Amino acid sequence: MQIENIIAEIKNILEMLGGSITEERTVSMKPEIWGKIDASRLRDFFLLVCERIGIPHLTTIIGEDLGDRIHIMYPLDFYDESQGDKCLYFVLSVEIPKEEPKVKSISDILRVAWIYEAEVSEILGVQFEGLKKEGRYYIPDTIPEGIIMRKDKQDIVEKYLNKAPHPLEGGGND
Amino acid sequence: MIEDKEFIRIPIGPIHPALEEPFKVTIVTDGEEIVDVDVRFGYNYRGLEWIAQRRNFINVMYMAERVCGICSFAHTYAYAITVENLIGQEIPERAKYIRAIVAELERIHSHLLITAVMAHNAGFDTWFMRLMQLREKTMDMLELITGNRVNYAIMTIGGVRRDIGDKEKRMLTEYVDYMQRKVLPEIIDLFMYNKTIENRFIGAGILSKEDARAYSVVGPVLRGSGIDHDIRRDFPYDAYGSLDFEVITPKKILGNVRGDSYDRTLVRIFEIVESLKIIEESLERLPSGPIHGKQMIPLPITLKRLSGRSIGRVEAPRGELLHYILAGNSEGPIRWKVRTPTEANAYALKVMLKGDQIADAPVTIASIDPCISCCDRITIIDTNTGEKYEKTFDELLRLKSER
Repeated sequence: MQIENIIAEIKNILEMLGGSITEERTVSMKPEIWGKIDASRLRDFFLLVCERIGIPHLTTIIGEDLGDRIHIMYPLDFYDESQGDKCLYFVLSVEIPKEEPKVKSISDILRVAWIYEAEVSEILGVQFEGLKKEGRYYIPDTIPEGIIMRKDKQDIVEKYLNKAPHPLEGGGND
Repeated sequence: MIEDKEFIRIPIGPIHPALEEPFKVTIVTDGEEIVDVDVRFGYNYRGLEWIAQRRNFINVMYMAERVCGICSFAHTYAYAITVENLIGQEIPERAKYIRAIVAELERIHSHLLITAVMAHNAGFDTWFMRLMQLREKTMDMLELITGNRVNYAIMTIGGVRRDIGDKEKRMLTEYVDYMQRKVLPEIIDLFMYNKTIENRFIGAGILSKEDARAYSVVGPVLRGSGIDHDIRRDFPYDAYGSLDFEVITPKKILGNVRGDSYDRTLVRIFEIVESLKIIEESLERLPSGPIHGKQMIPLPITLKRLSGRSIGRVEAPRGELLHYILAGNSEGPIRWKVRTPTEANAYALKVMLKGDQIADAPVTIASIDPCISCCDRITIIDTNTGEKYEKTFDELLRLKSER
C-alpha cells in the first residue's frame, strides 16, 4: 500500500473510532503524524490497522504521568513495502484517569507490545487488561511496582532509595 | 512459561561483574530441544529516566552518553536530535558529516566486536584476536578524532565539539584504505566460504520475516530476516539523506534469506563495508565552515523555554534507537524515555530459540548482539530431582562443536 493511502486509511480509522489527528509535521523528510483516541477504542484501532494496512512496526510504548492523568503513546512505523524508503511515522496517544489506570492490552495483536506494556505497568502502575505477565520484567524486585515514575508516589520512591537492601543482604532479583 | 515437571529449566545469565546490561534467558528443554523461553531484564536497573527528571537538558546529555559503553555516541546522537527537533535548530553542514563519521566508526567497532565473538563461538580464536585487533585500530581512530576511546564527548546540542583537521583526515583515509583493501576481503572470505562457520551458524536461531515483523525487531536482526529497513535511509537525519550507501539484507549477499545466525553475521560484516564507504564519502565531501551553530540566545536560556514533545531516532549499531522528551518550560525534561535496540531484539529470542537444540543457544543469543555476554554461566536444574549442575559457556560451545 502506498504511503498516501496508508495516511488516508489511518485518518479513516481514527474518524470511525472517534479519534482525531492532533499534529502533522515533517521530520527527517518524512511525514510524522500524531493522533489520539479514546482508550476504550484502542484495541479496535489496532485490529483495524492490522486488517486494512498490515502489521505496523511498534517502536515502543511510552507512558508518562501528567499530574491528573496518565498519557500513553504508541509510536508506529508504516512502510510502503514496494519501496522500502517510503514510510510514515505515526504516534497514537491515549489518556487514562490516574485513579483507575486501566487500558486493554494489545499484546495479543502485536506480540512485541508485551515487553513495553510490562515496562509501563511496572513504572507507572497501569493495568493492561489481558496482559499475561508473571513476576517482574523490567524493574528490580526490591522496588515496589507501579510507583517509580508516578509523581504522586515519589515519597515512597525516596524511602526505598534510602532503604533498598544491598544485594548481599537479601536485595536483588531471583 | 511451561511449568511441567518433566521439562528442565535452564537459566542463562544474568550477572557477570564485567557486564553492562545483564539479563536472564530461562530456557525450558525437553531433552535437547528448547520448548519454551523466558526473558527477564532489570538486573542492573539504574533508574536513569527517573534521575533525568531531576537534571537539566545539558546534564541529561552526559547521562545519555553513559547509557551504553559501546554505542555511547548513538545515545548522544539520538538525544541531540530530539532536543534539536524541539528547538527547531539546523546544525552546520560540517558538523553533520563529522557526526556521520563518528557514528560509522562506532558502528564498525561494535560490529567487529560481535563478529569477533561469533568467530570465537565457531572456534576460530585466532580470528577472534585478529578482529579485536582491528577493533582496537578503529578505537584508535575514534580517539584520534574525539580524544576518547569510549565516551567520546564530541556531541553537543547544535553541532559537535571537535573538528577534523588535515592530519585526522589523512589518517582516517589511510585507515579506510587499509580496511577496504587488506582486511575486509579476508573477513568476508572466512565467513562466507568456510564450512565450519556454515555448519555452526546456518539454521541456528531462525527468525522468519513474519516473526521479525510481529516482534518488531530492529537493526541487523531485522535485516537478517530479509526486511529492508534502516533508519539512516528511511528516516534520514543529518548527512545521511545525501550520502550514498546500501541497506544490507541476506538476499543482496547470498541471493536468499534464511533469517538465521549466519545471515545476521553476514549482514553485520557487509554493513562494515557500507560504513567504510560512508566515512570515505563524508571525508571527500566534508564542507568547510563552523562545527557549531551560532545562537542569538544562549543555549541554556533556549533550553529553559522549550516545550512540547519530540522523538529522535537514529540507527545505532544494534538497530533503531529511540529517545523521547517531554519539555514544559522547565530546567530539564519532564519525561525522558530511551528505547534501546536490545529491548526489542532480546524478546524475539522467545521465538528464535524455540525448537533449537540447547547447544545452539549461545550462538543464537550472541547473534542478536545483545549488549551483554552474561551467558558465561549456566546452571541446569533438574526439576525432578532438584539437582543442580553448572555448564560454562565454553562447555556449551564444545557441545555445539560436537553436535
